[in-house]
Amino acid sequence: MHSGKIDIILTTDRSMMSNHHGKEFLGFMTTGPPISMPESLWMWIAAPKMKVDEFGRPWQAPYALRKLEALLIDHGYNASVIDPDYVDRYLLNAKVLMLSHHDYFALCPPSSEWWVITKKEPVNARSFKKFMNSLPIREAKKNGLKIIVGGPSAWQWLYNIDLWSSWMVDTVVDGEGERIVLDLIERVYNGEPLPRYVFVGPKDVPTLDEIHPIKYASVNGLVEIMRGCPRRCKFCSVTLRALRYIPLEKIEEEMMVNVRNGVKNGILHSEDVLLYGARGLNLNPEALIKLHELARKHLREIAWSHAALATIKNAEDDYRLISRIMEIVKSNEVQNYLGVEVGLETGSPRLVKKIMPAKSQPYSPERWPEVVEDAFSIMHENHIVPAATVILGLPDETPEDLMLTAELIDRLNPYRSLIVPMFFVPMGLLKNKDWFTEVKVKDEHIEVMRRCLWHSIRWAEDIINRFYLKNPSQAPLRFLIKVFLRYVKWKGKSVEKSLGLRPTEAPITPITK
Amino acid sequence: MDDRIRFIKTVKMVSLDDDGTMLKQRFHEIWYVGKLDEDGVNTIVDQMSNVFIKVKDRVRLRFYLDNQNDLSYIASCRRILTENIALSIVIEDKPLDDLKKDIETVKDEVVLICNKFDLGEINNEKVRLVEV
Ligand code: SF4
Repeated sequence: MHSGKIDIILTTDRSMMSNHHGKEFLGFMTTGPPISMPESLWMWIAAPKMKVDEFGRPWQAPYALRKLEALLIDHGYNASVIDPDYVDRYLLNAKVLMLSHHDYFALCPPSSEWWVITKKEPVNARSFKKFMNSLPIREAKKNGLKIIVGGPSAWQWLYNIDLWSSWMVDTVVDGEGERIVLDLIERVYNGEPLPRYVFVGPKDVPTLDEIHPIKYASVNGLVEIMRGCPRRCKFCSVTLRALRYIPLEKIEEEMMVNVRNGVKNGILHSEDVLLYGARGLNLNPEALIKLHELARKHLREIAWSHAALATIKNAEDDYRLISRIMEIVKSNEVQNYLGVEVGLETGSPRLVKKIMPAKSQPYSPERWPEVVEDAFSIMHENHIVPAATVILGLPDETPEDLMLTAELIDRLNPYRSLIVPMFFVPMGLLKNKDWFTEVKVKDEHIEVMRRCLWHSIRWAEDIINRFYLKNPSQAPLRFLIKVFLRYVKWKGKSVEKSLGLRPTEAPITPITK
Repeated sequence: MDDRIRFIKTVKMVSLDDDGTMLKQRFHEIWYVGKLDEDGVNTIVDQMSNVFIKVKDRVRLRFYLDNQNDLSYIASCRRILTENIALSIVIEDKPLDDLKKDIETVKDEVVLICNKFDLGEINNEKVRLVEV
């Protein structure tokens, strides 16, 4: 930051530029439209404003923006992440506006599913459009501003070409950004034309040395521990990229950046945290223990971004690793649970075999329901609270597959967890503006969805009271969420009644405390 | 840090080009002129599948346009982009007026796909013309 002028502004809209009250899971609410409350209140719960300094630089910012900020600063550029409320202060004198988002136009699950169910546009897309429409883009363009957008949902611009055009976006980048961003910025500074779209293939991802440690705090202390994934699922670009484990000293450096900036908790980020240091799918217990000891040393509370159910079972069955890690996690006597997102996806071994055979490894796809149940049981006993996703509408899905999924969810009743159904929306449908009216919801989908709903409502109160929002300072938020849960419960029952369905709600019998 | 941890620094599944840039690498060049319809997209896809044989792993698709403010050609590229996971793809556009000059100055091989467009004579053997 030099004398109030910023050449390269990195930003995103409010739904992303928030720490969600320090509770990452509340961020999921940005994927829905406001339900039973005004949008402003919904946004306050889901994505409250971020504290900023006098220059409008946010206290915490999405990790991807922090990574690019560090890369650009280290290469001598005047770049800074700016809170969306302060971007217009700098825009007219800036050279580049860089945007990143997880779900620009709410086309990824679960936003797409909320859209299908409620027929209302989720707040993340609304918030992004409002932000873009608030900027003086035309005037800034006259001064030579270039707009580069990226992030995991960059592909969604292909389905919003009118907005791409009207917001005068120059380049859309899909994939790991380190190398291409330096190229693009160099072109801007040299006055050379920019490409319209770039997909970064496996050959052009950065090496470990090209991944620069963040310089300022990331949202909720998120720190990347590896890139890539060895599971080799079909149609997945992540698995084709080099597998890169971030060395412990770099991870520690980023944790310390967060802690120094007052972000005492941290999220370890990977497609599967338990594969840190693994050789293929062979776990590396020493690397994992060291990683968690490091996190325990510096952080107050630790979370995992994602873990695979098969790895959880494998880690506990073969190495007692989940118990050992959780002993480390709980050893500071402050943390009593650990949150993680897991992919349950389906209860049908047939579908697992057909669409994601690597998902169950090292176990066979036929054993998938058993793998899921065992992993849930292991997590329950160790106070790991999963938010599990179930995918509906997969290609080739049959009513029998869906009933197997429904049965599996019933078997998961005793295990503390949230289960979130997600609709698989074929990309072909997205060409139409009102695509969300064309997604076919079958009776069996409804069966699965209501099981997910009641399962999650039953456990949500327990999670909120015992683990998630138990501090007195979180009482107002806890109250609002409980009111919301009561509303959802009432609404769920009335929808079931209107569909002539017998209530699925049943008393819960926890297996362990 | 002990050796068991240190080994993880070096694990790689595929090799990377190590000069730290992307756009300056060698790309398989495919240029397109004329209407971009279903047949045109199929021709691009056919040409791109040759890239696997050449193992270049990178494709630059350049469209010569009458009106560069009209991005509707990107919508036609959706299929190409959403079905790809293995190649780096760069899409760019240039004014139609530049085409003649660009053809004359080509040094590395370029595939020029032409859909019902009168190009006149091409005097550069590095340019391989493919009619849709
Ligand atoms: S598990 Fe996920 S990230 Fe890994 S290969 Fe499969 S789809 Fe890709």
